[in-house]
Amino acid sequence: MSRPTGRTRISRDKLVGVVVALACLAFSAVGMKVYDSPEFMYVDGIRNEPITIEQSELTVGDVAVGTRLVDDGEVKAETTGMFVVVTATLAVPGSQKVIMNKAQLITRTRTYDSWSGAVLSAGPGFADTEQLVFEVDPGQIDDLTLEIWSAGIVHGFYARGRIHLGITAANAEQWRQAAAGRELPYQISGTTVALP
Amino acid sequence: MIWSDLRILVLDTGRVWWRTLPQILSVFLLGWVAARLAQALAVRVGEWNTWPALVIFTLGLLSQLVAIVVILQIVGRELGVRDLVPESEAVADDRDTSLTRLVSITLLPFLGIYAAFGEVQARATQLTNEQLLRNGAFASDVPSVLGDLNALSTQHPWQLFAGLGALYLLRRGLDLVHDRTGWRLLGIAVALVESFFLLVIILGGIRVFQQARIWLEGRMFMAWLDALKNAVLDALSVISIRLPELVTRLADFLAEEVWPLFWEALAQPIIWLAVAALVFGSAVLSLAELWRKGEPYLARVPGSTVFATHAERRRAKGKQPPPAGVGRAAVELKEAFFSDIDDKYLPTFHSLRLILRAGVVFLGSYVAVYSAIEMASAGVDMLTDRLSGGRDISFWYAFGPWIGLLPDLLFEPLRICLLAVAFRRCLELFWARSHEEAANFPDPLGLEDPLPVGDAPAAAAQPIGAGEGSR
Repeated sequence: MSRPTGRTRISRDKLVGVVVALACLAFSAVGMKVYDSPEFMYVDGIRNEPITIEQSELTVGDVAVGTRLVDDGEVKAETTGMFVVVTATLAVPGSQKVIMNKAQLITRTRTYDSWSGAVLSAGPGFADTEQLVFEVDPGQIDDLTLEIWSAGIVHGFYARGRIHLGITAANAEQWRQAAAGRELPYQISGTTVALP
Repeated sequence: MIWSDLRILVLDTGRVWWRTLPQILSVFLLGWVAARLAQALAVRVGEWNTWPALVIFTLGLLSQLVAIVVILQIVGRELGVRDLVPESEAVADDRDTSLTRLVSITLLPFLGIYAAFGEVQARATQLTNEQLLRNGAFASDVPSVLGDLNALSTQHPWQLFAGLGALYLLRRGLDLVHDRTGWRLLGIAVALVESFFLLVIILGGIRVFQQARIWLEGRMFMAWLDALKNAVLDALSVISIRLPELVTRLADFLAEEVWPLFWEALAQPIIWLAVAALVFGSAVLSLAELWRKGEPYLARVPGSTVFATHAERRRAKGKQPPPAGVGRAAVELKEAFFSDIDDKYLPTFHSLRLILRAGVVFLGSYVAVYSAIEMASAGVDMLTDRLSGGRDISFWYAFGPWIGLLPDLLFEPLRICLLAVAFRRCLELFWARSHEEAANFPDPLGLEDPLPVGDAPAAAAQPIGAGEGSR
């Protein structure tokens, strides 16, 4: 077996060096992309179970669907799509007031902003219950998930509550049928109670 | 070859970090504490008046830059970077003893880096946020630093320009007096005025630039250019491959994906290295060429380095004493402007050129190690964020700087050590290239094959710790 000449070896070494150097650059580029610091973390939960978020306890309760929102027998709003009304309670056992002023429903492909703009707000020792209303496309409700958090002009690394509402691809059709032509009782203002 | 580079960069960085840890941590912490105090004070003073707040804010920024420069000096000394300069080329100047001189020379590029990679803007935003949190978003009667600068640059841009002109003249005046007297306090004053000048440009000037762009976009000729562009795209649309869409997508891809990656992952480490090289002196910057030519005369010429005094530089350039009267003023003014470029911009440019000559293999390995440190820092940052569990802004206002200190304390000194090690490696590479033919080493740069003692600079190509007592 003949040995490669010095010249060939140097060229090959150089080539390998350049290739590895380029790989190093690619590694850097990918690394920079991957390590783009996130602004928040998710705190996952399920319905009717409290999650701890920003020194408060958030519980997402009933989920109701319909096409008309009714208050005291008066139709407040009607949609050709579907209203999803989520009842949520924010309890603050700590010493600082907590406000959850941003909520959205997400699916794999859609993001639905809050229709009502309701805000959960509770002082120390109190619990606030509100109805969060969303108008959604009935054809796009698989794995509908509530995201809720405290949004401010300035924020640090914060937590977002993420609660799956229980609507899946398997039962989405039943939810659609349940919503058709149904009236939903809706109250603009929520209720605040003192914690025991 | 690349494995040698990687190994030297990683091992030597770790070793020099460990050896100098008490010193560099102390300096880093001092810089950090000074910056924090200045930031807190600037927030409070800013409620009374913006300008003194900006001066204090500048002091904070300056203290961190000074810390970086001092750490680079400590690490450079430990690595024996100056020993790489052969005895006969050693330049007798005050770069090692005069911190104010060093800071005044290296400040501009360092501040430039901080501005280019968004650090200055981030600090200014932090200042604004802290003011916002203390006073509330709707406290219109309380001045804010960015708010006042915005108002000045949008409503009274000529006042801003006049102020900048006055600042520039003040700095040049101080610079000249400093050059001639050598008073260290004046050196600090020059650095302070220069930082302040740059901050006003960065924070206020950006609004003027935006205003100018908005004004430009409203001009008729911009509509003509748009019409021309649309006509070209329409003409191209007859081609069945949807060329206009492809061009737009390609432009978006380049602007939004490729450029940020290039800027962050590639340009940032290299520019940092080039600027760090300035700390070790401009004579070293031209060393590669000197070695290559084998005629290292330049370093022996008084006035050839940026560390030389004003009078030495004039003599070195063969300039006669300036004429009297108006002619003298004109000469001084011209020189004041051009010497700024000579002193601050050209060394940075030459430094960058030098670093790029080190070759793609070295640069690739350096960029990879640099990125690994940045990634580790980001990883610890993310970890501490996650351990905090996600909190409201009042928590971050109170504890954020302390939590953020952890990754900085671990990785910032390490990053600075890497800069010094990488620069030393650059010098070794240049040395080896210049001696390649004379001394036929099989692998002159490998850790296993150190340079022959007689030919090599004292510190060249030896891993730290290999020659105990040599540094």
